[in-house]
Order: sequence, then C-alpha cells, then structure tokens
Amino acid sequence: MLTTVELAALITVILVAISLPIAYILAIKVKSDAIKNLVLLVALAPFWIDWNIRMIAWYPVFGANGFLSSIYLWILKGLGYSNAEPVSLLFTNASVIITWIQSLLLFMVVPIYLMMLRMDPIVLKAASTLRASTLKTFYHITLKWSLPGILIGSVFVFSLAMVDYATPLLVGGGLPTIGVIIWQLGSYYDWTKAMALSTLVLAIILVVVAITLRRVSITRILY
Amino acid sequence: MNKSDLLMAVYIGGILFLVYLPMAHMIVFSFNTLPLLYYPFQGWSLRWYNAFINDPGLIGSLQNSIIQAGITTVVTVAVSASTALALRRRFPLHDAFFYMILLGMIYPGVTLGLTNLVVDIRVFNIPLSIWTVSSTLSVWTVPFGLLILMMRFDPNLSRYEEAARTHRASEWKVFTNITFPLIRTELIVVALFAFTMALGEVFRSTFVSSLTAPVLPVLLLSTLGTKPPTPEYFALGTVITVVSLSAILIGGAILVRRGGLVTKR
Repeated sequence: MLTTVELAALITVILVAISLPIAYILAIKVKSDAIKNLVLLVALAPFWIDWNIRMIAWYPVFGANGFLSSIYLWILKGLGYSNAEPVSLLFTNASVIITWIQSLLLFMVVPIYLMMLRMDPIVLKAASTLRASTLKTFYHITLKWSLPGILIGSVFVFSLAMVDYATPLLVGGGLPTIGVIIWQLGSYYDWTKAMALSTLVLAIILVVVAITLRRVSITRILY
Repeated sequence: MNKSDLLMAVYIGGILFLVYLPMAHMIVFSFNTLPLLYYPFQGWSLRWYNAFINDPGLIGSLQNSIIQAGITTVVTVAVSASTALALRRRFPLHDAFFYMILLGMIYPGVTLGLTNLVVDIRVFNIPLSIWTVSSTLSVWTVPFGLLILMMRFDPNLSRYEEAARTHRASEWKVFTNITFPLIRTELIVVALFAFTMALGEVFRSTFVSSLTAPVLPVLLLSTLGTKPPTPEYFALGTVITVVSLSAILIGGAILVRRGGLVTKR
C-alpha cells in the first residue's frame, strides 16, 4: 500500500520535472505551428498502442544483455575495466519508473502545454524589459500560470500509476502494488475483498481530485 | 542556431529517443532467428510472424478485440457527439452532468472493470462477452471523444443551425444538412482514437472479458505474467503497433490540417 503511494507520488514529481521544459519549449520557444504540431504528434502517438505490448517491448532494453547493459559494459570497457559484469534493470523499481516515464508522459505534457499556450507573450516581454532573470520569469510567471495544468496532469498520472498492474507485473517482476493485489484477488474470484480494496483506492483518488478541483476548474482549461 | 536552441533540440530529441527506444527494439527483435530477446541480434527471419499467424488462440483473441473495438467506436462516436451537441445549451445540472461523464477518464481502470463485472453478472445476469467489454470501455472512451469534440467545434456552428431554423428547416434537416457535415471530420478523428484506445486497453477489460473467448490484451497479460515472452509476441506487437500508429498519425494529421492539434483561443 505504502509502496504504491510512494511510487505513484515519485513518478508524478519526476513527470512534472520532465514535462515542464517540454511544454515550455513547445508552447513558447518554438514559433512555427508546423513544428509544434509535428513534435507533439510524433511524441504522443505511441501512447495509444496496446499497454502490454509497450511493456514487453522494454525487455530487450532492460535485460542483462540488453541495450542499457550493453552501453554500460561498453563504457566500462572503454575506461579499462575488462572484467565488468552485465547488469539487468529488469524487475526492479527503476525499470517501473522508467517505463512509466514513457507510458504516462502524455497525461502530464498535454495539460501543461494547453495552459502555457494560453499565456500572453506580452507578459514575458514585460518581464524581460524589467530585467527579470530567466529563472525568476519562469518561477513567477510561467510556473504560476501553468499550475492548473500541472495539477490536472498530476491527478491523471497519480491515479493511473496507483492502479496500474500491468507495469509492476510485467516490468517490475510482480512488485506487490495495490493494483497487482486487486488484480490477483479478482482473478481468484475473491471479488468482495477486491471491491473493498478498489473502493479504498477510488476514495484516495477522489480526495486528490477534490483537493485539485478546489484550486482549478477543468473548464478553465477547456474553453 | 544558438546554444540554447541546441540544448532544447537535444532535450526534445532525448525524450523522443526514450519514447521510441522500446518500439524500435520490439520491431527489430521480432525478426530474430532465435527465441532470444537480447543482444547480440542473431539474424533476420520471418518465423515469428509465421508462428503467431498459425496460433489460433492469439488470432482468435485478436479478432475478438477488433470486433469489440468496432462496437466501442460506434457507441463512443454516437454518445460523445450527441452529448457534446447537447452540452452547448445550459440545462439543469449541466455542470454536474459534464463532470459525471469526465469521471470516466480518471476512474481507476481496475475498479471500473470490477464494478461492471458485479453489475453484469450479479445484477443483470449477463454472461461475459465482447459486449460486456465494450459497455465497460465506452465509459472510458466517451469522455475523451467528448473533450476532442468540445475543444474543436466550429465556433459558428450554432449560428448556422439557427439560420437554417429561421428558414423553417426541420430539426432532422438541420442535423443532416448543417450540423453533421460541419462535425464530420472531428467524428472521424474521435472514431480513430476510440478504436485504438479500445483495441489496446487491458485494465478495464480484464474482469469483464470472457474466459473462453478473451480479448487480446487480457490474453496477453495472463500469458506474459506467467511465462517469459518469445519474439512471437513481438511480431504480433509490431503488426498492432504499425496499424495503431498509422491510425493515430492519420487522425492527428487530419486535426493538424484543420488548424492545429489544439486550437488557440
């Protein structure tokens, strides 16, 4: 239970950090609409592919003789360690987190991007006229403006990561997250217990949503 | 190109690399001659494609999945279009209704599956089939369709309809001659997205899929959870990936041609 919440919170924080620059670059720095659309489309297209297949596609990347391990060995050999052992990332918490970065990125980037698109460029210009540093401008204007997007994205990512059972099962090697436990209970026809647990999860998610909706309104992003 | 532009290009490139790294490996290793999923690559062959085409279990569940995704697509297009059109007007409990539908997006997949299982079996006594999967998945695909439609409606749609009504067109005529042609492209996009979403969804379909004739994602999860994958699954994955990616890229390209993935207001 605690592992699940911790992992879900961790991936949420990581994704906010990764997505802010992406949304910032695409929404503000890239001027051409064609490039904006092309990058967004190419980056987001794989998110609609079968979840299981996306999970097992990581095996040749994480495995003991996989892509990452080969690069690691190559670097170590280059540094002169000839007896380096291959490492396997498969079935560790790290592989679950990396896989989630790939599979949940869409749900964080799009809400932040939508908010940043609505930012008035004049405000940024004013900040630079008044000699605010880039970092200060980012913190006081960009970050505050895109806060609703960050919150909505966090709700999406957190609620998806909480109950994901395919990733912990296939890439995490049966990591006992709450999703895996519910899935196992349900598969063994222990529906009452499974329902009790999933009601608990639903309650946690609804509390997170309620807190978020007090701060932002979804409709503000839409219209 | 100055230094910060280069840095940004590298960053975006890195993200794209991470997103496509597993996809590229899956496609390459689906052609492996030996049943190995790690380096070094052994050589090119089509044996795993042959293996999955001759696997009746996989092909049968793929068929189930395609039929199921088709049903879900029809339901999603019909329900999200009528809902999006209705939501343009104010009516009692307008916002509550809107939020209730949106709840389907964040409602935990496993909970949705379990709830539908209990309702289908215990309350209505419906045997599990692709229809129970479709009815469950529609709860999740409809809000996405609704959002795409609401974000992209022609701002003048209501005015055109009003003009037709002023000229005494019947409501049916208004729909077939004005409304439908104006939202047709968006409906195609919603259909493409709903189909690929329904085709690959595992969390919501696990518990409502029939045990004797499961849909593909459910079969895959139960098989892959117990034994390590062979390149056979990579071959299947490559076929599905190529088909879904083309559908999504076509859908996205239509949206881009009609004024951007998301419209600025």
